[in-house]
Amino acid sequence: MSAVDSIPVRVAAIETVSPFIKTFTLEPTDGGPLPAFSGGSHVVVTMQGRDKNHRNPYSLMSSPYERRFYQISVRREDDGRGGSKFLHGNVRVGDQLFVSPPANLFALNELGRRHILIAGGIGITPFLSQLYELRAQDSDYALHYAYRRADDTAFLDRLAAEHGERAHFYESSQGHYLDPGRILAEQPLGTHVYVCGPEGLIDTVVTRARRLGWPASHIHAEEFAAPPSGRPFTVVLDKSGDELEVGPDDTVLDVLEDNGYAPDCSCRGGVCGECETAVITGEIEHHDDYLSEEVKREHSRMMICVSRAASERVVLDL
Amino acid sequence: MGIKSKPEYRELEFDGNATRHVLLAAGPGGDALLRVLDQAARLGRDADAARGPLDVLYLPSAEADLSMRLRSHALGVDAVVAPDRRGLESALRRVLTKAVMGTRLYVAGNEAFVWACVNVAREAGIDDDEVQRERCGSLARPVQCVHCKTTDPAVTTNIYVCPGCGLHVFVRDHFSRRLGVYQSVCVDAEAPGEVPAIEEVYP
Repeated sequence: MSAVDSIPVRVAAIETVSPFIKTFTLEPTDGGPLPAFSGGSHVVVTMQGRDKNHRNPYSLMSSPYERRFYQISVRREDDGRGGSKFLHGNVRVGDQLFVSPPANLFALNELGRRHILIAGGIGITPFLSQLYELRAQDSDYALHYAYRRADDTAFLDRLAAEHGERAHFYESSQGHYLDPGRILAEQPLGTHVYVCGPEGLIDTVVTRARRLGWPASHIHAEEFAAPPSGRPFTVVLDKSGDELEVGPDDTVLDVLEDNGYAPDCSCRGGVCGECETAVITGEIEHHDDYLSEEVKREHSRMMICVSRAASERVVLDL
Repeated sequence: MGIKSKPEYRELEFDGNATRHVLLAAGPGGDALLRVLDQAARLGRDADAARGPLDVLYLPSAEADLSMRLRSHALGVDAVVAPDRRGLESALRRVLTKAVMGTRLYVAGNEAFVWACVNVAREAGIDDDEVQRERCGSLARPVQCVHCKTTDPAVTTNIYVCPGCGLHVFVRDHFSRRLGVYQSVCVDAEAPGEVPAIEEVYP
């Protein structure tokens, strides 16, 4: 999937749902129905800024049964690379944005007999679309939602009202902590666990599930780590001979796209594997969760959506 | 071997991460269970609590009867010895009604036995990666004729006469996990009567 597949959308509504979180409703500019998606899917939103384009992946939180609009919720990250700040500060109702067709790296297991959803903070968003499916299919499920402070947290009232006893809330500032060991113990055969949120929560849940003997096929995690900043470097494209500069807050992928290239990519978070690129020379600072440790040590491949060069120049097989 | 569906087997190994263990074997497969029990015992008394419940279900066969050794194993597990496969399958269903996530199944026996157990477990919600499989004893294959769908539970030759339709059928590596059988197809369809040499290849 590349940037050329983008779908033009109009911002139909913006709602402030917590001091740091806004929900954007996006309607297709051409009026036609948007592509269908399954719960847990994300889209890459392209925003045309004054100086540069921002491209960020966001989970779709609206109903998979609704194709007249998509909804995303965006937490403002002041230390981020600017995409979320741009959405919060510059985007108005009526503006045009572009979204990629939805892709799903975090789908519910169709054969699962019970589904346990564990969310930390803004990690709730992929679950919002999954919850529509779970309710429509009358599935057995439980939602566990951990956050720091209730006043800064989105969707609490709605989740409590819609999911009743299936929803469990943990406000850490009040001393209520989510205990993965308790949640995962004594679950019936055929249960799947899904976790989305900060890296620490994901690690704890995955480690605990493995220690309790859960097989890998029943443990699902999604982390959208923003690409890290770093030292600037030069990327050389072996086939065209182009030399491009990657600034401290840019990614190789962004720079390629800004220069008219359309490399394969999907998640923009170093997990899906679409943008894997062969490295001809140069040392890589890997930030992805996709390549094996062995491959990473060889510096022979890189995920251009998140990883950076450790050397001043890197030559890619592009 | 080329065909992806052909199942793979490996030596059973006690999985210290699992919180409940269900050990199943037929005939010579009992040896594999004894090995797993030895491994569990080596974890020592302190590990008992962490190890969780352990069930042993065994079906003796004409090839081997290891009931006594399983029952007298130092780990002191109360092994269930089933009179026939149906008895063993219903014992397995009973054990699995109490099972929770973290359960590991260890199955050892011939292929027909292994996949019959896997299918009972699947009905209970257990996935392939929660099951360890070791093939023991005869290499005889459970085979279904693609023409008449008759299953022969133990085929030892490359070509056999289907007991359902009487055709000479060739045993392929193509395996159905759902049915727990290999596939066989007519070997002389193009030149009726020209049947290649029949050899015992799955002794």
